Parts: sequence; C-alpha cells; structure tokens
Amino acid sequence: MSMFFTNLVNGLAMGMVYFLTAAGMSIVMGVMGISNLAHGALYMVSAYVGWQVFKGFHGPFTLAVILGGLTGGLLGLLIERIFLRRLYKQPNEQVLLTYGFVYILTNLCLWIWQGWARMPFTAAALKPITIGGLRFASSRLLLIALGALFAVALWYLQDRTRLGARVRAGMDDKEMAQGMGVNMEMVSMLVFFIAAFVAGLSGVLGAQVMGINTEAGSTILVQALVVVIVGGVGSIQGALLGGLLIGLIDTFGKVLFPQLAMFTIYLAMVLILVVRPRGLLGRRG
Amino acid sequence: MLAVSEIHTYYGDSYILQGLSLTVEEGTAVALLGRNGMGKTTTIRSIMGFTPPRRGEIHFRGKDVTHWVPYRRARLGMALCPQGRRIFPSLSVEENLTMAARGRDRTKGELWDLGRIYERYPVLKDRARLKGTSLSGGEQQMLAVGRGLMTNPDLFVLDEPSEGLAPMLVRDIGKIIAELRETGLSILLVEQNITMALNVADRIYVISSGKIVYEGAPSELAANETVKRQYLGVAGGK
Repeated sequence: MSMFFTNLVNGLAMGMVYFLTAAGMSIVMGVMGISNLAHGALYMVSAYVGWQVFKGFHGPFTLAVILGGLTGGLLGLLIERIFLRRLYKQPNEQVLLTYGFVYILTNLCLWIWQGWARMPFTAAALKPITIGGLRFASSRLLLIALGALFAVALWYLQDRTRLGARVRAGMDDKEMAQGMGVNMEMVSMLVFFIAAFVAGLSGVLGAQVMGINTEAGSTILVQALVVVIVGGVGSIQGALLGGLLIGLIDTFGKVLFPQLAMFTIYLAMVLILVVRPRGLLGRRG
Repeated sequence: MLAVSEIHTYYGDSYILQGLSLTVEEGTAVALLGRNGMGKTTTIRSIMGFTPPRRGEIHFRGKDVTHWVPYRRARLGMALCPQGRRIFPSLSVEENLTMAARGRDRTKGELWDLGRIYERYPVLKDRARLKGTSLSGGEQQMLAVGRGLMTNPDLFVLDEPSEGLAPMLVRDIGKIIAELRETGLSILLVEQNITMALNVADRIYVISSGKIVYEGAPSELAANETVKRQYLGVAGGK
C-alpha cells in the first residue's frame, strides 16, 4: 500500500510537470496553429538558468523559478517575433525552424553548462514530509500543489477573463474576431509569451524531480506532445487531464510492467485516440 | 461616412467585384440588393478588409482605409453582423457581447453597454450564461446584432440578417434595424428580402455580376418592374 501512495505522489508530480509544459503548447497550437517544437528546449534552458541562480549564485529558489520563467518567455517571444510570425500557416517550415532551435539551444546549453547532468537541486534543503506514517519527498508534494495552483490560474485566465474570451474566440473564428476589432496578432504574441513563460517555470520545477541534462528538451517535448494529443488541442483542462493521466500511467507502468516501460504512455495514447480522435477534451473541428 | 469607389476585388483568380462604387451618408440606411453569387458578400468582405480590393479605394470617416487590416477598421467604428451570424461557439452569450466591447466618443446617441443591450433584448439576459450557439436562430441573430452594437460603431454592416428566419422573426429584425437607424447609426444592409430592405432603407443599390446596376430611392425601385424582374428575380405584375 505504501508503494501505491509513493507512486501516486510521484506520478502526480510528474503529471504536473507534463501539464505545465503541455498547457502552453496546446493553447499555442489552438490559437496560432503553430507547432513549436522548441517548446521543450525552452523548458531545458530555463531549468539550467534556474540551476545557475540557485546553485551558481546561491539565490533564493523563488527567484530561480521566476528568472527561469522569464528566460523561457523572452526566448519564446524572440523566436516568435523574429522567425515564426513569418511562417504563419506553413506547418512544415514551422517544424523545421523550431526543431532547428532545439539543436541551437541544446548546444548553447552544452557550451555554457557542459554535459554533466544536474541532480534535483532543492532536495537537500527540504526535509521529507510524513503523512499517515508514510514519508514523501516534500519537493514532489510542493510540485503537486504548485501545479494545482497554476492549473486554477490558467483555467481562470482562459475561461473567466476578457483576454481568455478573445483567445477562445480567435480559436473559433479568427477572421470574425478581427472583424470585431480584436488585434489577434497582439493576442497571439501574449499567448506565446505566457506559454513559453509557463514552460520556463515548469523547467525549473521539473528539474526538482527529474534533474537536468542536455537531452531534457527533447525528452519533455515528446512527453508534452503525447499529453497534447491525449488531452486535446486548445484547452487547459485537456492539458491538465492528459498531463496527470500520462504522469500516472508512466509511473505505474514502470513499476508494474517494467519490461514495457518505454512505451506504456504511447500504448495509452493509441488507445485513447481510437476512442476519442480529438483527444479527451479536444475542441470541436 | 463610407465611400467605396471603383473597387475591383478578386477571390483567388475569380474576378468578383468589377469597379463597384457606393456611398453611405451619415445617419442613413443603405440597402444593397441582388441575387445570390452577384458579389454582395464580397462587397462586405472588401469593406471590412477580409478580402481587400486589388484596385479602387475605400474611405471611412474621412480616412483611406483601403489597405487597413480588419481590426483597425473595426476600431475606427465599423461593426459587422455577418452572414450566418458567426457567433463564437466557445463563448457564452455574455462573453460574445463583451469580448470586443468598446465605449467610444460618439457624437450621436447613447452609448451601448451590457445593461442597455439586456434592457433592449431581455432574452439575451435570460440566456447570458449559455453558450452563444445554444440559442435559437432568431436569438442568435439578436446576439449578433447586440455583439456589433457593443463596439459602439458609427457604421453597422448587416449581411443578410433575415436569412433562415421565420417571417415573424424577419419582421422583428426589420424593426430592430429601423430602430437603430432612428438612433442616428449609419447602416449598410445587404439583403435578399426585398420587402424588408424597402421598408428600412433610405437608399437602394442593386448589384449584378460585381457591378452596381441600379441606384435609387426605395419608392422608385418599388415602382420599377424592369429592374426588379431583371436583377432581383421578382415576378412581374402585382
């Protein structure tokens, strides 16, 4: 039983990292029709920046998270403003361009921070928490709590604010939204920044469970794509559901069927797509 | 208010508007009539900037907006109530109304806000939390009108607002448009329903094959059997 709860916490914590990374990707795909494969690389760069702030400069963890987020957001914005906006409605070129950035950013990280893998860097400072006689890593519990907080914040932004309404209207009928006087380019830019910012946060937070290495960008990209496909494009709720589901399936899959560990999540993805081709909470048409 | 001069608009390779001109004077309602496929919706798309003309000019409130992107035209005071209504399905009734709401310095009339829209069209207030597309056809038409009014436009462009509505609802929509005209709003109405257009418009244009073929007062068109038969498909006689 204690194994079950330990794995449950691990799975949920992983799931929150997947959710935070996938949420932005999903909304950017929905609003702008952009497949940003560099999203995972932004996660990685931000994780290194967080490490640098916390371990290198001995700054507070909160500052590490915020600076990590800003790094992701600003890098994302640069990629969008300088390159991606010229490739609107050209999915092949978007994929090539953004995958190019995966290489560039990965090598940049290799150059600055070298190839050695970083361990979760807050673990030493945090004592495990005991609940009902079971010991849990407090970083994982904190991650679950923060993930839940961001889920609520992002959901509120999407479903309860005027910006969120404009974003959804843009996904429904971009031309009509513009005809109503909404500057969709500005809305898209803002969405892209927020998405990259949250990916950056999730990089610093995710590093507390998974550590950091120069493969991290590509690894999280694949997981995030699975989450977007499972959860459905264009919705925060879908990314949350997909993220938690994939986190749990991945964690329990590795424990229960170790010989299948490499593909339990893909198996789950295929099964879900057979039943719901648009993903669990995907938008219509 | 709006002056469209000699515009030529293409859809891909199809040459749709072939030198079309029309004007909407301030505070008047102008109707553009014509059969299907003659270029009515393309005229609106050119004016809104969705499909800008390749040649010709569009002036709105004294500014040359020919090459402006749609959102800037809308902010200058154009609102569209589009064909098929195009209510945003992911938005609630209230969100559809507020998503682009703007209060502007208007010279005429009271400002439109949520309270005034709900007072005028109470059914929208009752359904405020429902998804916009869950409303009936007539209610959605009211929502599309309300959504446009919430931007407090100077020119309201309505593209076939009577389409797909029962005769009684068509009369209601006609009444709504006539009321709006009374408030001093300039209106460009594109219609297939001639009776309604003749009732609300101060001036009528008839379009055929991308050109204006007739222009006159409603009473003149009502008496002109040739134009009605040739361009509007109205049977002769009474």
